[in-house]
Amino acid sequence: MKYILASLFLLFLSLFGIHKPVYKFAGYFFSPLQYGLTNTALGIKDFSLFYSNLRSVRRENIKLLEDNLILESRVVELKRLEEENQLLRNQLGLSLDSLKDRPLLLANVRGNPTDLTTATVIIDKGSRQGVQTGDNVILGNYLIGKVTNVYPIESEVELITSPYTSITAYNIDSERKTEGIVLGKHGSSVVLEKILPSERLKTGDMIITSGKDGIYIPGLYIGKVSEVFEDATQPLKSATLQTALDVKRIDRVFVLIKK
Amino acid sequence: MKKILTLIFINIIFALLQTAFFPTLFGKQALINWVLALGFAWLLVDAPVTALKSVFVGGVILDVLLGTRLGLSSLIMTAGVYLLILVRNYLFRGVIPHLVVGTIVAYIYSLVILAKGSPVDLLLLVLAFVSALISYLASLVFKQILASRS
Repeated sequence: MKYILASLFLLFLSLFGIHKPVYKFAGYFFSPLQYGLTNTALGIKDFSLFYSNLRSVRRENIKLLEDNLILESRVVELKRLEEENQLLRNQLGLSLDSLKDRPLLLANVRGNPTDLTTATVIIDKGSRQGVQTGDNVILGNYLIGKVTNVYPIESEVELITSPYTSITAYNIDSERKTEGIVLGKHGSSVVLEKILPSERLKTGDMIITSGKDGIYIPGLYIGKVSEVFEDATQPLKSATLQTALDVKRIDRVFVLIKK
Repeated sequence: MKKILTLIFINIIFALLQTAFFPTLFGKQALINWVLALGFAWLLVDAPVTALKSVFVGGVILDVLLGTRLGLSSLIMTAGVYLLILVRNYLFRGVIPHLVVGTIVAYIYSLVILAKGSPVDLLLLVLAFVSALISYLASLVFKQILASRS
């Protein structure tokens, strides 16, 4: 009980301000200690916070890297879709009237590892998607080639530059619609042959398919005349054509599906 | 004399830890009342007079360190320990009186000394109980130390 009374006595004395010199005196001793302890505690706290933050920053960093990978793949996918969308719009805008009622199938192109002449390519659509042998392959109104072999999920396309290609075509710029046969030249160029000497043909004339061969749809653009060969000793004329597209560098095409 | 000097020394260390070190490290809520825990530990080793002396000295030191009115902390804690002695002597012993008195002292201490909250602050009461609980656990540790030294 005496300690309670002593506390009350101290409390009573403090009402008269007697404690102030005591506090001042004690402050000289305890303030540096309190300051040191507070700083030590702050140091420990900062240290632990630093390490806990380090772990969370690491976790965050890993998560961000993962998110970044996902986003990058989405960006690639979106770009691919955008490109595909643009291609479809272009195709729809450019298609000939004769093509409008025919179903088009978008296909990705890859090289044909078994063909060293680069006269053929492989597309990622096959019989499961409705592709058949002989289907024309186009891009816009440009003729790319025709399907020669069909597999369940891919097909082989013979390009117009293939030496095995033979297309009946005519000169749309001449009044008489000069006709000839377009032949591939080992994957490098195409030539228009079997032109009658009386026919007029000049550099820059546009050559399109006539459809008379029964393989290629009429009206598809093949290329421009780049050089005309007239030899008096030869009964027929020929011309080198510059293809409208670099067919070896195309990565997407449309297959004209037969109904 | 040696005993009282030892009490003063230990209480200075505890009061310094209680006022400067632990609040900075763990925040100011639900902290161990080291001075009170030491007093409880003396009670647990059946030294009630030493317990009263300890909390009185510790309370005065706390007042000096906190800059509160001299005798206020010592009055609250001495009264708390005295109440606990009465309960232990005339009613029952065990953990419950320690927790009850500890909670009351921590609650009053928070209201009067630290001036946190109103008299009907439920959160403050919960924090006072948590403080009493961990102070009691600390007093059990101190008891082991004191018992091994005596």
